[in-house]
Amino acid sequence: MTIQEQVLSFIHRPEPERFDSLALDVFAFQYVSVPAYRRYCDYLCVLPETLSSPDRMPLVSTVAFKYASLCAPDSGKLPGALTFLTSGTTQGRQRRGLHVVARADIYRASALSHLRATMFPDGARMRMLAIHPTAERVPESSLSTMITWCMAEFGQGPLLCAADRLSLDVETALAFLRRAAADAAPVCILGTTAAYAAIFHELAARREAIALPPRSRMMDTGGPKGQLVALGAGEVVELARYHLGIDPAYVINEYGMTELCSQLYDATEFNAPGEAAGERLKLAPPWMRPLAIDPVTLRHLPDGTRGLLGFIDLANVNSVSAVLTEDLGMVHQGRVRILGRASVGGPRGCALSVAQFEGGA
Amino acid sequence: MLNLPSPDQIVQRARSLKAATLDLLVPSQVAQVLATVLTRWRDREFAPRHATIVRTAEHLGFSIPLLEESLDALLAPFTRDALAQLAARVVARRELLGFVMAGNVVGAGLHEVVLGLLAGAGLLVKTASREPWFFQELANTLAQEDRRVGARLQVSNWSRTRADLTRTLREVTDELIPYGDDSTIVAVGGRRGAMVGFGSRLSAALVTRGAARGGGPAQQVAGCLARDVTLFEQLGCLSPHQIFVECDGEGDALAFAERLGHAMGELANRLPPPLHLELEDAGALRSVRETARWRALAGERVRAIEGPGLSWVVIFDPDADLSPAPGLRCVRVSAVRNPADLAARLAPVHGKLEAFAIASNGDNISTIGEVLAASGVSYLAEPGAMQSPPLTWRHGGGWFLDRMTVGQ
Repeated sequence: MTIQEQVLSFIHRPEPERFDSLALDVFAFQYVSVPAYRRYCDYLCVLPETLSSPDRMPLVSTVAFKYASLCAPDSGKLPGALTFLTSGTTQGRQRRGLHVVARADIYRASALSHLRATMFPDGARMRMLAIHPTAERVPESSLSTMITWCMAEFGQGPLLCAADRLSLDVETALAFLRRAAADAAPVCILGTTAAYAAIFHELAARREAIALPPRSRMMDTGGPKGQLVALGAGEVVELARYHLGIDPAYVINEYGMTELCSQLYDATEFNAPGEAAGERLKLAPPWMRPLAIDPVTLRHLPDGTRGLLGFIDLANVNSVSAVLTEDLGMVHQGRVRILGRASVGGPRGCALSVAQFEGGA
Repeated sequence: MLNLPSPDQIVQRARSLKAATLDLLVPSQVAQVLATVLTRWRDREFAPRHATIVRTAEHLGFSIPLLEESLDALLAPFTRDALAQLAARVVARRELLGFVMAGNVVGAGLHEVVLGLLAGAGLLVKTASREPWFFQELANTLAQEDRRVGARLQVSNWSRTRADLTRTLREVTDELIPYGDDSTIVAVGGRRGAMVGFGSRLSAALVTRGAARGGGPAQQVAGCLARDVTLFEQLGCLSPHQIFVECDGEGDALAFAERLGHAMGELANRLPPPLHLELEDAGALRSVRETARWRALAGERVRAIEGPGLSWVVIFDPDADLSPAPGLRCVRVSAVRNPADLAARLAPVHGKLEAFAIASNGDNISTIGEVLAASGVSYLAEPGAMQSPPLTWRHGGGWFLDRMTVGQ
């Protein structure tokens, strides 16, 4: 069985005790097949034959996807291969990261399997509203692709995409939601937090609330990105309840990025009953291991310690699985708390932020 | 020791300061007192200074040698003569000024505090939780040296949770001067009490073609600029973020980057880097390094010359425009062909430049001066002197200096 088939098999039938050995095999494959990664590993003197634990796999920063080709040569030309670009909003050089996914079926299996576990654990199929453009509208967006797959897999009845590359048609989206409410048909909404902010803003301006039926749900992602005044995670939950009547347990934030083929979702009473008390943590799929990394030493930190978030994502089998993000967070027994983003920022000088000034830091 | 007031106490202190401004001290008298006080503060054995440095080192994790040398640099220009000359230029201002200090640099704001005292204003200073000691200890020394001058400076500290106290400070002062970024000033503008401030700024340096060549002198320039980068852990508006090297190819710039790296390493031995970093800062430093590393692995002409851990890094990035670094001893070296090229590289931060060091053998200096003046640079410095601006430094473009003085 090829390494890709082994990963696919693991995604369909996870065996956690096999994660380490499979991760080492994936690393050995990537060392051989991805020249830029091999150069990096050689620079660090980490070789497959000397690596005894996946915890020592060299982590590749997400910024690397902007500058290096982190896939096998010509893998982007394989039939069915997908090429995704980052949104280009990260600071610094405004170059967009690129992730070639040579085996779309592995990405699809990863995305849908964890969506099934976290967004549709009840086995429901329902109406779908995308408030982010779908893949035919923005083919280079990994989020668009994921939303498209989600709609095809879990959708039933009317399906609508109310956004294109440039804008969100709020009026059309609201009409779709009003119809679902009138028909007492549960609906699943998929989009960025910024798009939800636009929906909530419009509903607030109209003093309108739409009472979606029980089991309606929503997935938001992106957090503050693209928002002038960012909605906090708690605000999203509260506004979804207030304006759309969605039970807080069905308001689920996704954490994902172009550089990773797997995603994490909020643990709530809906998808993790009895385990989701208190502050929301994010669930990784069994084929992804989240890590908190010391930015100074690049070593793994103990559970509950703040660090840079890193991941070993086996679904990235055809590029690089060990990825270091610029996000801050901590890991609790395999679940992740996102704390924000490390930022190079602007000039500090004699600088205080508004919050510091207002609070008299 | 920290002075946490109630809102009523802030009001009372404001009244007390207003009354103190009616005491007709002449600027030359105040200058004498300040000269005596600051001479004491230049002595590393002076107990309040030592206590301030020890507490700051413990609180921020900065090394004591780094803080000692940084404070030396800040205080060096405050000589008796310089204070007397400044006193001769100030205009009387019997007003109450509020200062909200940033705390990223020990003693940042001293130039304006001294100007305010010389002009006869009452100063209500709110220090930062990050560094609440310097101005408090300075005020104590001042009060001990001269009760009348000391009565014009009150220092308080409160945390970010006490927005009520900050509001009160804004209400009781004639003018409130935050050391804040541009968005801070915009956000708090237009409320009760006048509001001005020192916005976001960064600094840089140029090594001209003549100065870049030759081993000994170029190494000396590198040593001086390494010191400019290192002092205050590169967290102030006077700290250089990027050094441009004038050259035809890139060889001289790369050679200078290597010299600078050598100097940064030597300086790190003498002025040790922080014992620990905030996670956000460490994350930003990691991001800068990884970006350089991967650009180099991808074949770009970028090179990171770095110390152990995240202690310091020089990034050779020949084509880069001026952009802010995260601080904490992280500096870029870029190549420029001529003054016109330099002007183009500075364009992205037009109006945001504070200081600029020039290492030159006199070559092209007038043209370079014109470029920097057009870019809004407030302080042209010799390498090694960036952290020691004169008392007449036109900080933030000079609005405060112009407000408090007359003549040149």
